[in-house]
Amino acid sequence: MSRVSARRSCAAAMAALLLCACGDDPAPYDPGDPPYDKLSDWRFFRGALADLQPSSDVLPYTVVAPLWADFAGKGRYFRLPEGGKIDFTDKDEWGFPEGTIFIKTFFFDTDRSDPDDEPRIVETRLLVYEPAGIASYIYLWNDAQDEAERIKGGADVHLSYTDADGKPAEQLYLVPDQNTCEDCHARDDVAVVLGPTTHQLNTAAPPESEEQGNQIDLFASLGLFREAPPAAASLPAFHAPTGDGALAERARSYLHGNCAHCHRPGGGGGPSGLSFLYWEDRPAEYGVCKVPAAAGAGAGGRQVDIWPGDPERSIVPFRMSTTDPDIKMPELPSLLADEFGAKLVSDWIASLTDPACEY
Amino acid sequence: MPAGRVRVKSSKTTHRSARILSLALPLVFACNGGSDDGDDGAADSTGGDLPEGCDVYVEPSEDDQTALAEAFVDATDGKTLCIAAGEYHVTRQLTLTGNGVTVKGAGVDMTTLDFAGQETGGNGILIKGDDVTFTGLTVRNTPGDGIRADQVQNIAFVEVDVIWEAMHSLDNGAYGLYPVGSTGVTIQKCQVVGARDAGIYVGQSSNIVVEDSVAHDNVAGIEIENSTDAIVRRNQAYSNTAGILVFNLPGLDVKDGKRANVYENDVHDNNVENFADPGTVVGIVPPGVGMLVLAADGNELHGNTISNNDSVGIALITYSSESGLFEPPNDPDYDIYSEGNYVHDNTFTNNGTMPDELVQLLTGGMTMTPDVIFDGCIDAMKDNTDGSLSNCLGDDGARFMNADLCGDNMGSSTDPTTVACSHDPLPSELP
Repeated sequence: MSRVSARRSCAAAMAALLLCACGDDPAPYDPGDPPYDKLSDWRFFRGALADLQPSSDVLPYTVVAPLWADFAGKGRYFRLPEGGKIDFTDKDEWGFPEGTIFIKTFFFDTDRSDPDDEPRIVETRLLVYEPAGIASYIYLWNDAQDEAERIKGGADVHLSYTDADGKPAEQLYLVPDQNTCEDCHARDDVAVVLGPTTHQLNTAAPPESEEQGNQIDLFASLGLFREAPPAAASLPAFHAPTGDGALAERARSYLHGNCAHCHRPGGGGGPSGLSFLYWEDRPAEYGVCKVPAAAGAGAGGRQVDIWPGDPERSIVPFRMSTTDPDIKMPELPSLLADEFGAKLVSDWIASLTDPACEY
Repeated sequence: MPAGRVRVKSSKTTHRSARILSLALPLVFACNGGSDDGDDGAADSTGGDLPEGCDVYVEPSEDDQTALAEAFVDATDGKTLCIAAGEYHVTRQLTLTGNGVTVKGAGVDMTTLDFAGQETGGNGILIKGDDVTFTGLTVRNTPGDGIRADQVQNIAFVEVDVIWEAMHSLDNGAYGLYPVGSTGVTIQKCQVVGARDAGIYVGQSSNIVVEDSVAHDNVAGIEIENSTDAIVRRNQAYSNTAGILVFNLPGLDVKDGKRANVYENDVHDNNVENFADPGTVVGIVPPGVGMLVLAADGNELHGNTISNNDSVGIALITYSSESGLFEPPNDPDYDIYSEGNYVHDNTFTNNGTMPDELVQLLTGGMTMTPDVIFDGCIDAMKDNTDGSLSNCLGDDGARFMNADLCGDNMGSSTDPTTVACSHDPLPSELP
């Protein structure tokens, strides 16, 4: 049954049932309690859902060093509860009040040879500040792109697209199950939101933002912070990995954005003793001449995480470049290596000269 | 598509569904009939009675992956997830986040989760909730680690098997049962076969019991690493490269593991060629080792039966880069010495008859190694006037060697009276 006819017959059935079951007083639509089964019931967007036009209380934002997700593009938004304020800090995640919702939509270019193609929206993930902590919910978009339904157990999505050379191509994309969110979004046993930090958000607002300018300045002008932060120009920022900043800054920004959700004290990769926090300034802590703890096959016969000057002898780019689940880093349900990121980190390691490892 | 058959009781989803049903029964039926959603709705609820004692129930189906992932989501705080007998084909890591959850199979021979087709995730199962118990199931052929419990309070594995079917293959996963950074670890009546690092691997944890379990055909059978207050008793470790390891390694957040009470284990025939990945510390363990203490303090190894290990029965060694075995630790807080250990009342039979070259390096080329080797090193910078740092031997009749690797003992010696001392026994119950 086609989508349209299914909807029509449903509407007809609804009308008939309402007539007999409810008389002339139609019951108002009741989506139930959150988390809703349908994305549209959250009312984050106005107009056609696929247009992702944020409602007036939903703000788009972007990050400087995004997490690689198998070529997915991402639309990021958040909604504060009425009167809710953000607690600013210049390091690590800002504080958000109960009722805040982060909304991230994943989409794929259907024609990667055409910058103006219509993307295919695959999933929308929510992080909801509930009384008991931050909860994760995942919505899978339908083929008609007019609704997304909540799923808990993950999904395999088979994408057909035109590649950069104009040839037809296929890609399997994995929508994670709900519990997998905590593989990254947890620290010291508490669920966390990762993107909204000063370093990540200290950049221009995305094109879909109603007002342009630096995001932090913009949020401050909207009165979103409990206490207004200093001007963004005086605050720290990541360097866009694809930008033209210093190699070390770009690589360390990339490593923070893609690895430090786990590789930091309290994170899932904390027991490895390796920390990719951008502000970690002790080389041994971020892997220089560090022997792995329990890398297993992940070591690939290499002795240290980062061997200055020699990416071939370094475990980090080796693990970034593979898709073998036994070896691959990060341990995410992504299926494709980020060749750009691996090269960036390799180039950075190649540029390091000091200190030399003692072997 | 509706994912497999999962049934849950009294979850939030169920309540909500029930409420919607009562409010708008006709609507739900009319509209869902034409749609192809099949996600949340499939994971409930209303159909069929749950087996007694189960809050969430899953059976084999055409889509085991989704069914199990949903069941793990539905297994919220305090719930019991029952996995019915049968074989399940799992393609992604399963993550358990609920606290106080029991995951119960129908028995190790009955409920098997096969991960041979796993596409993503470094573990078969990742446990992040506290107070979790796994029991009565087998995890098979994970590309990475078997079951990892990551930084939790109180994790129990009771009658859980983790198996790799390929013999001694580098393609097997590294660790079978893998609690790390955790407090309160119980591993009871479990079995791990085929890990190409450590079968039962407890890392950076405290308050640990590993008992009545079996580890064979792994590189290391049982490894207690950077962990404190462990009881390792009545286990069988055989046909591994090394039977039982008590290690402290450098560069980790949790340092200075101590007080493993290792007793009444049957450790035999651990002579398998090391098939660990080169570059790992376990990868340099020579075959033929019964028990090895590396850079760990205050352990007691007693009442064990140790036989037919070709290189050595028990060895106590320093993480010394001078021996050529280890890289310099590059960790200023790391203590390389094994100190204050007490080895006594073990039964040795037929060990050290064909020592590996590395062990011969330690003994100066002996073709028959003793049952027990101490490398003879303790930290000369520490005060040992009360003898608390001395490694003691109380094994009457055991063949012994002090290798005097650090040159503190005026040459190597095979005289056990030079190390005849004792330490207070460790408790056989956890604090």
